[in-house]
Amino acid sequence: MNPPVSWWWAAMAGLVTVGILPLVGQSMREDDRLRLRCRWDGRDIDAAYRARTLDDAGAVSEFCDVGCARSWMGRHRSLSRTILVTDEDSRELFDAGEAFFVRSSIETNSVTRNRWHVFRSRDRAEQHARESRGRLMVGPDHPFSFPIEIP
Amino acid sequence: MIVNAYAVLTAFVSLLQFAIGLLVITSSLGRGRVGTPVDVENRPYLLLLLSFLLLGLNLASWPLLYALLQSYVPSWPDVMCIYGVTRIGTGSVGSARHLPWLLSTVQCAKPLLVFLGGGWFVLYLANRATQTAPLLPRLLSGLLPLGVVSVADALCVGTYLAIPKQEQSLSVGCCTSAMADRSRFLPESLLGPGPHTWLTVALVIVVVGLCLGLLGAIRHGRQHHRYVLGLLAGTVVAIPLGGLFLIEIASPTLLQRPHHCPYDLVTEVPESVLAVALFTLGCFSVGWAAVATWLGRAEETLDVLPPLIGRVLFVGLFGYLGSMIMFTLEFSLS
Repeated sequence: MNPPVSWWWAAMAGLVTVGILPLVGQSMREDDRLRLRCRWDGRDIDAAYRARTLDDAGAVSEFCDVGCARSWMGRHRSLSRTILVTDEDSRELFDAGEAFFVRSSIETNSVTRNRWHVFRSRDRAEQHARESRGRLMVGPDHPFSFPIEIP
Repeated sequence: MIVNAYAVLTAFVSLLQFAIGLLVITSSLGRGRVGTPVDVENRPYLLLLLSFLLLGLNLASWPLLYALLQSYVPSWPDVMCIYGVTRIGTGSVGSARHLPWLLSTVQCAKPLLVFLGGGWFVLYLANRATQTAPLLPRLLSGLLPLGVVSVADALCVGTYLAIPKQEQSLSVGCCTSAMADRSRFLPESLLGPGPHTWLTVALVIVVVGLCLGLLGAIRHGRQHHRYVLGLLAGTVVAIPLGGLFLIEIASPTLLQRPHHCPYDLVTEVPESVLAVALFTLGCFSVGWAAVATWLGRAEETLDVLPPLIGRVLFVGLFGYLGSMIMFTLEFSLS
């Protein structure tokens, strides 16, 4: 049985309204999209610990920290890529191949529980390792020695 | 036990659900035999009022559950969204080991309660349009499963709230285990890596087919048993396809990261929750129409049922179309 004409009009108005909602939602999130978010867990990125990867196709992925970058790469092994990490002292991005990594007792993020610390200078890395009950991670312990084990 | 405003509100609603559910069960058991018009006039008013209250509580408790789980997210350092909260207790040796299955049961019971309540309400509407209330015995019988599921749901929610949310693991003290354990809070793909285009195509075909079927039922009055059965079969196929689509395609696309977690949509793309609710409304409406078709038949309802079923199916059509429009726009804007 056909519902009354008013129902069809009401439904039309309802559909137009629900059609507007995604537009409103997207426009409200526009500022949100400009903020740097971690590719792995979607959290805001702290500039002191961020990591970045560039793959062969030119795609850039930003991460909260080394732990998130490792998790991401553990699940996307096929792509070859350049990895940039941030020096904790100068907060500058540089190639991960030149970095010294320390795993210490200090967590950089209470949610991700990242304990990877990155330094450009070996002396600073060793100092941090001494002061924070950590260890310089080289050779097979290097965070980006492939294949990466999924944490 | 984590006490916050949502926990207190949920506990209060569950307590009401439990008490009213018990009242409804005992009343419907005692009043199963309603035969004479005098019985119809004198007996079931309080029971029906209690049933409406129970329906409202059941409906309100569904979103309230997710508000509660969202409020629990900051309680654990590793947990990032509701999915993580649902995993708390996994592998624990203490009472917290019961938390995951309790939560799974509650998450299944909530939609079941809304569906049962909606089906009962459609029968009530059909009965109300008659002179001698021929569907009253069926309505009273229908309150029994509704009351039982409500009581069970309230018990599960109450137990979930009361259990301490502190995990006790045999591997406590080993930092390596703690690290490895982090992955349990990460929602995984159910179908493995890949674009899964077939899933989108299959869902679109099923939903478009359902919309055309519903339009046919509404405009041309095709509401005989086999036609409604066909619509119900389409809906039964659409529900798992829709769930998989939400996890495998919609969540990663709308969140713009490889997370197969529909719970993240609640906080990050809140309007998509409405799209999911509309899809659910579409599915449930077809089910309610089927309930009315099979359980609402009586001599006196022969004239009442076609317009009622037509209107319920109309709501279903609106739900499916609204959901499709919203997801199409969300995808094109993402």
